[in-house]
Amino acid sequence: MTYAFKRLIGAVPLLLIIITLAFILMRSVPGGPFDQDRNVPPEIEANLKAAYHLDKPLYVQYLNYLGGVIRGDLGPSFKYHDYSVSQLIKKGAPVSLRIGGLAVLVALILGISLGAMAAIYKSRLFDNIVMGMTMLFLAMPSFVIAPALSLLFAVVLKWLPVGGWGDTPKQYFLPIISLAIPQIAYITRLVRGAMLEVLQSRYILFAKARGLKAARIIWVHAIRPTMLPVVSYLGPATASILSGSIVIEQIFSIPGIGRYFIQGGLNRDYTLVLGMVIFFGVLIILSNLLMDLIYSGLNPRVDYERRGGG
Amino acid sequence: MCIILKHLKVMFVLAFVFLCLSSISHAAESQNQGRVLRISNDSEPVSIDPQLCNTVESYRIVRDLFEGLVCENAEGEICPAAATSWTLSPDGKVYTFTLRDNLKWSNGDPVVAEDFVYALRRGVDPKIASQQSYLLLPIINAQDIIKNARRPEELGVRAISANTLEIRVTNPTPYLIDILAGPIAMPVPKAVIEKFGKEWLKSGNIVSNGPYVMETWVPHERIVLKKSQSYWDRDNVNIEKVCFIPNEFHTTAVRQFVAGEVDIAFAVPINQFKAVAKQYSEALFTHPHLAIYFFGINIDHPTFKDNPKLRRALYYAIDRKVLCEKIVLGNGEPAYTFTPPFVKGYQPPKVQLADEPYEKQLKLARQLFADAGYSFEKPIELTISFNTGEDHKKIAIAVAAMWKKAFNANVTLRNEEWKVFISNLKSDVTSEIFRMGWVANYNSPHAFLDIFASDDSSNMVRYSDKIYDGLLKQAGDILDINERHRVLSLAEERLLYAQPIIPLFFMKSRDLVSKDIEGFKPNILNRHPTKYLRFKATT
Repeated sequence: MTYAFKRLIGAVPLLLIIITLAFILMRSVPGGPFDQDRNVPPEIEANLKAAYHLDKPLYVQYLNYLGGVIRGDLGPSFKYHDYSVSQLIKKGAPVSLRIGGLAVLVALILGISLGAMAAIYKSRLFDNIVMGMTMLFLAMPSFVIAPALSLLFAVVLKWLPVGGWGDTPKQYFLPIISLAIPQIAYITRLVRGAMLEVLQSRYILFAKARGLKAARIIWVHAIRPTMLPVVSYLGPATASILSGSIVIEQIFSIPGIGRYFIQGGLNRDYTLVLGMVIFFGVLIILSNLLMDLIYSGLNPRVDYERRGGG
Repeated sequence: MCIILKHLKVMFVLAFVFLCLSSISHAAESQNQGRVLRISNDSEPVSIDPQLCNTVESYRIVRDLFEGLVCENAEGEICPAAATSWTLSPDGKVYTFTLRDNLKWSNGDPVVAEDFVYALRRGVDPKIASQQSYLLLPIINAQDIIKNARRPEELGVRAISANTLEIRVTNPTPYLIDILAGPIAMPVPKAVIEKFGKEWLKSGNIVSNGPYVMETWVPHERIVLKKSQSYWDRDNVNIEKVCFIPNEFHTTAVRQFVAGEVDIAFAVPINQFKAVAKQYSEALFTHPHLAIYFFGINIDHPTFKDNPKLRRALYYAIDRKVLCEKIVLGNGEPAYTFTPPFVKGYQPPKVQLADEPYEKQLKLARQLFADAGYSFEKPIELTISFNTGEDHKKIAIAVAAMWKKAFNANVTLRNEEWKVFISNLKSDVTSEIFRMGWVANYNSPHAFLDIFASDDSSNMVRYSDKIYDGLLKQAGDILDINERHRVLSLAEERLLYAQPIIPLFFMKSRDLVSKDIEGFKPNILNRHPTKYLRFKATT
């Protein structure tokens, strides 16, 4: 617990750096939130800037923003006038987390299963097919997979809806599968490699010699060390799935917060982008911490507490 | 190994079942009930506050929720709405509106003239900071209020009685009625706004006076409106519920329409247009609307400064017929003037050779090019800037090829992200030629020509001509609409002779409407309020 607490305390300056960098980067990009083809007269632009405190010096805006963050106020959205950034995150985050969480789960279940099977049937037809498919899916980004799946399953076969949210459970399938496919491919390869190594280790040979059943050897003795690289990968995978959902939510019209990153950036909605940065920053920090704790639980050689915070 | 396979099968099944179960709880609660009109809206509305909204997708929702003194009918023509009639003083500066007797807010309170006064003052209030407040500039004192030099209470608007409203304008403004049909002039409930503050628009709080009331609003998921039981014309409102689904990807919207998931999808992407037109010809509605696609020329740039002949040469060297038929695939009509010929009561100036074959135009272009001091052997270097977009790119490439063929011009294409593009146009680093579109807010030549006045903030070509400004001012003082339009036509003729712009084509709407729906009438404003739509009786 001390280790986890220290990690959390250490994350505060990290978050501050992230916020500061994001603030500077957003403000250094050309164009502002109120720039449009129909230029408003200067006096109206001045009123707009005053209403959103953009007329104040940059450092004052920065300090005001930080003060707001400490109070839990992420400011008003510059684009969506009827909602504050906190309200938008509150409404959209559960959707994104649900999609992302399910995608991670599907990727884990299918990736581990396929990887283990490929290792067991090494160099046989099944292994070759799985490895070929994983190469293909690793090379294909989500934004290619998603429209292709949508075209096939929604428009041609009419089995699943094209997009939208909240009408039918079927609307979950395509986005989750589109997000999970690259991760399934990666985890499959990871598990296969780890499993092959573990299966050749002495304690597995010993287990075989003792006459244990194959299933018990695989799922009881071999699976735990096989999980170590998978758990290590889960942190980056979570980040990858979250960033993948930015595109997927746009393609499938899902009301999550991923699309706010794109829309916020394109609209120069400073507060919305910063709100997203903070939310995803905290999420990734927490998921990495969780993965590290799980890792230490799985691998007795890793003990963060004894090493004084590792 | 059989056992392993069994285990794996179980894991696959578990993954599948988990996926289903976890989604059912959320989705089951919002199953559609009854026949709902489903509209794919271009994106999440920036606001549904009448005085704050400023995008097409917001307008669609606001027009269903609120109603102004006047509104547009299904054909896009102005008709009485909350006001039954109005009079105009002989000098054209005082409008007096008489409201209907039975107007009610959705909470049952009466809608009175004071509600309109409150809304119009709110529209120019610097604290509200409406981006649309410039539309109210014709009203007395609006300019000073926006500049913070007067109080909103000093706006030239007053309630003479509960159902009589007076609006005073600085100069005769025949298009004021068109502006009053827009969201900026729609009434808002003062008591509700004061009670809930910024939260007044949320479902449960919002009170409106239009044909529909808010049922639910889940940001980026849907906005569901239901028929208002307090609306004065409720007997003629046919559709009980309408659901606006935000969707930034028009390709997704088309796929949703094809799959029957939405009833209306706007703006079919041009690259999908041919296939859609072939398969869904009965559902596809295309119609010119008050919008033009043009190239602007930065006339402060050394290449173009004091060289109108060069600008005119570039104008004539474009084969607009090819552009409209081959590049934008019939989704545009060749434009030689900036103001479309279908603007109400306006006759744009006649352009030399506009009705002649392209070969003749090209000949004139080459002559002007030579007169401007250039030749085929000493080619001119040009840059066309455009914001990211497949259609903009195609158009820029086509025009570059036409100029190459006509003058041996070396054209560089510069693709920029939208905000960078706009920022560059506003600053001095802008390129020589840039693409732009203009959609009029109201049906008047003023909506097109006023933006080229020297002091107009939307004048991105930096055109500045005292005579042009004088003609605009002169027209602004004329009460007789025909005479006013004649003077405006003279102004446009002057603008086109100076050629700070190269009109390319008038844009067309490309909307998909389910064959189950009646009452969708293409119009030049491209506005289709739900109250005019209905499901066919057989469905």
